[in-house]
Amino acid sequence: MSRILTIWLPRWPVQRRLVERPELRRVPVFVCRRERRGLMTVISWAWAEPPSDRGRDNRRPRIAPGMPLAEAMAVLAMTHGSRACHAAVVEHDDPAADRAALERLARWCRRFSPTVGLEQPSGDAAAECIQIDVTGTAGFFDGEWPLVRTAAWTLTARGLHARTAIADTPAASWAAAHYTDLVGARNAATEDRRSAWPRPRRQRFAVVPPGAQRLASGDEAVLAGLPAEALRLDAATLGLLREVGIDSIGGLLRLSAKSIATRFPPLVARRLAEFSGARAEPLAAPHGAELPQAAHAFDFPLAARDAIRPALDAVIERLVVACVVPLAARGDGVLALQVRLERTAGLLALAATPIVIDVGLFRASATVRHLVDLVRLRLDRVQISGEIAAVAVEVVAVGPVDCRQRSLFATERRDDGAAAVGGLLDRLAGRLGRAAVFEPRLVADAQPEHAWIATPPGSRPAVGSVAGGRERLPRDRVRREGAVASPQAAAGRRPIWMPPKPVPLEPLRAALVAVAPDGPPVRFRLGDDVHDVAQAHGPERIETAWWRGATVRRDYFIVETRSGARFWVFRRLRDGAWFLHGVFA
Amino acid sequence: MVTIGWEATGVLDGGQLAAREAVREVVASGFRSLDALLPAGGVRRGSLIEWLAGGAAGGMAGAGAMSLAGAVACRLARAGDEPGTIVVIDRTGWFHPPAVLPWLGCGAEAARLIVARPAHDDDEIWAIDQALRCAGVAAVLVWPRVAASPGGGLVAGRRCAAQSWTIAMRRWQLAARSSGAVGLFVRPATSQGEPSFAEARIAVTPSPGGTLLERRLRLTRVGGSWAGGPDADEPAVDVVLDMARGTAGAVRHRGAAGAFEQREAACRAS
Repeated sequence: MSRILTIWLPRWPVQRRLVERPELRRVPVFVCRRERRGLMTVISWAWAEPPSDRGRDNRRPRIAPGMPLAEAMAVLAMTHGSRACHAAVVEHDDPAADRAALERLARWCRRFSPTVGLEQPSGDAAAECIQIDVTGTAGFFDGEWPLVRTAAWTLTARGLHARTAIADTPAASWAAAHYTDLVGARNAATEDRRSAWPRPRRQRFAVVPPGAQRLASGDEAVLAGLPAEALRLDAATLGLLREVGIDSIGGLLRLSAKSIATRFPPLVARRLAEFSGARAEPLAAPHGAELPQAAHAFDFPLAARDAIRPALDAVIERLVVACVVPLAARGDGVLALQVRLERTAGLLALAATPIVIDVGLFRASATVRHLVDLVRLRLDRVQISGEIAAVAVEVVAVGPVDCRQRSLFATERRDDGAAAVGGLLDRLAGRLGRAAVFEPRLVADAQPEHAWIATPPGSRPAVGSVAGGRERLPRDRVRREGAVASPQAAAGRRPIWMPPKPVPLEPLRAALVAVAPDGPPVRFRLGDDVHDVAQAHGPERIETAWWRGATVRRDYFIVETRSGARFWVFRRLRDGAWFLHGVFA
Repeated sequence: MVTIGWEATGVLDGGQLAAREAVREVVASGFRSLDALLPAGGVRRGSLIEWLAGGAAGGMAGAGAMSLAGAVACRLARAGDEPGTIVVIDRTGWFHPPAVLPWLGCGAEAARLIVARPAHDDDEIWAIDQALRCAGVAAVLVWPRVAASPGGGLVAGRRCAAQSWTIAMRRWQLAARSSGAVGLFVRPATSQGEPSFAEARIAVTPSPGGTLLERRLRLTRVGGSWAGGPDADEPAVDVVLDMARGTAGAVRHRGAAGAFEQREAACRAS
């Protein structure tokens, strides 16, 4: 029988953000998905470090995934006061980034065993588990108990809260990892007593003895007491089970296979078979596990003080070729590449950390020259010190490249332009950063600051196939895109220059007041210049809905000064203060 | 005696250079009176054009030069057989795309707009060079750097040293020539004295009046390819910019035709 270690990272979307930005630990973080009509639904939330006197269980806000954000805020306000709501950070759901981060962690988990897989979530749930086949490798960690403990606490040292469990099947270890408290209480007696570790208040790890997942009763049946939710069933099936009085796995195990098959949906029998091991459940390897990599170790370390760049460049080029060739053979190209320069520990121990260069591309490329250029661009900006002992190149992500037939005569190709722009985007992103290169798109939003979003370039399928891209969108997205007509209707009334924050306009000896009660200003000062308004267009009233947080209520005017310059100013309706919000430059 | 011709040394004289320049395609800018102002009778692919915004120092804000440059860029991107790409190098982070996005067109004909936000001056120079060198790019828009002054106003921020800008500009000229991209540089009027490698330098000053969706701009040619100083005798024209579509707007005669309408009509007739 195999032994599977499951590492569960509860609330992974939030945990990932907390690791990336530790400053978020002090505030409540909500990860939300935007539904139709701008309604925000909480996917996951956490408050890693709540105020110490209030972190007790009885005061913990009960916020369930799927709750609207406004409701969750109200619950938070009831337990922690409205100040907590003001401090709360609302983040947009990003399943792709969550998955990518989990895959990175899964690759890191290869230290426990070479066979690593990701949980295959049912429905639209996000994966939160890493599953590792540790058959025969637990001995290297001095047994299974030290292994689960090591896994849980090493992840804690990396700032991640993890629960770990080992059982015979992936499903059983999944269940044990999600209910380590219950399993741990049952098998505390069988735990290795030599362990000098104090038992934590809440058990974070568990080991299920071999064969225990098949037992419905007895001392060894540590899993029989787990609730039926641990079988990964959907809510409707769980309701069905509850109706007939089955609320634990043990209750299901006592039934005969025949009665389960006739009474319940087929999913129950399948999950039970996976749980007991009657039906095999393969581990799904993280995407890109079979990606090529190449390394080169120098006979003598290269000292940075010598002119090593030509030698390094030559080695990197050779390694990139070695990585790209097998990919190109199956029609794939590189989407992300990692170059590691391993340094030897010299006199300074600090110098031993490797130099890691991550190169990301907007569209997959199998062109060695382009990839090497991107690496060089990054290498130019890295201070190399110490001695380089080895160079390793690893392909992190791949994507299909559109191959095309070469033409005999060098003629102008229509898609040469698009390919050249793709290369330009990679170079710009390589030097300026991926966030600094984007393609703006209009979205339907009343508030001018949020009327456009920066999307990564290349996310559009291709120029000209907009209709084809729309077919793939879910229905509500199409409706939202249809609503884009409203910013389109505002064409010509939006400034080309907008300061990041509205600039307050200073009152000029009370001359800034409008003549009409709700009219445009007649004169305002901007820096050292005093502008007399010759004509004004407006007002265009913009108000945002209450469920979006701080309400925005403004009257916008396009004002033209006597010299012909045009500005976009607004009056905040709350207190009548004037702001400059754009320049028709 | 051996004589070495200019061809042998790889240096072209003025006539040859002009002949080679003339081969490249000239695209109408979409504004007839602006075309009349440009030396080639339109925007020549692979050239640089400078727009000097505003008349007096500090008065560049709100002058309309950027809108006009954006409109010309959209026109250039849509003029070819297939839609091109516009790259905006936005050093300030103030560019507000909804002003330009409706001008790109829609469907298969839509041009593509890409914004890059460099954080340093040398990154900006490098990014402009890379964008101008790229074959699929129709136009590169460069905005001047502005900063909110302590008083709350907008002033033209300090550009990197004028000399490095001039040297870089020569590089950009060669880069643009190699790819056919057009560089559109909006600069404050105070930089008029600096040398330039642009094919045309056009000062843009706003004219008062105009409707909500139409802006009136007065364009003055203030220098050619290699010249730097202002020239009082250079011609000036008026254009009307349709803010909703990014094209030339029609002049509406409301009542008696003012000086602006007369000048504009004269330009159209010529």
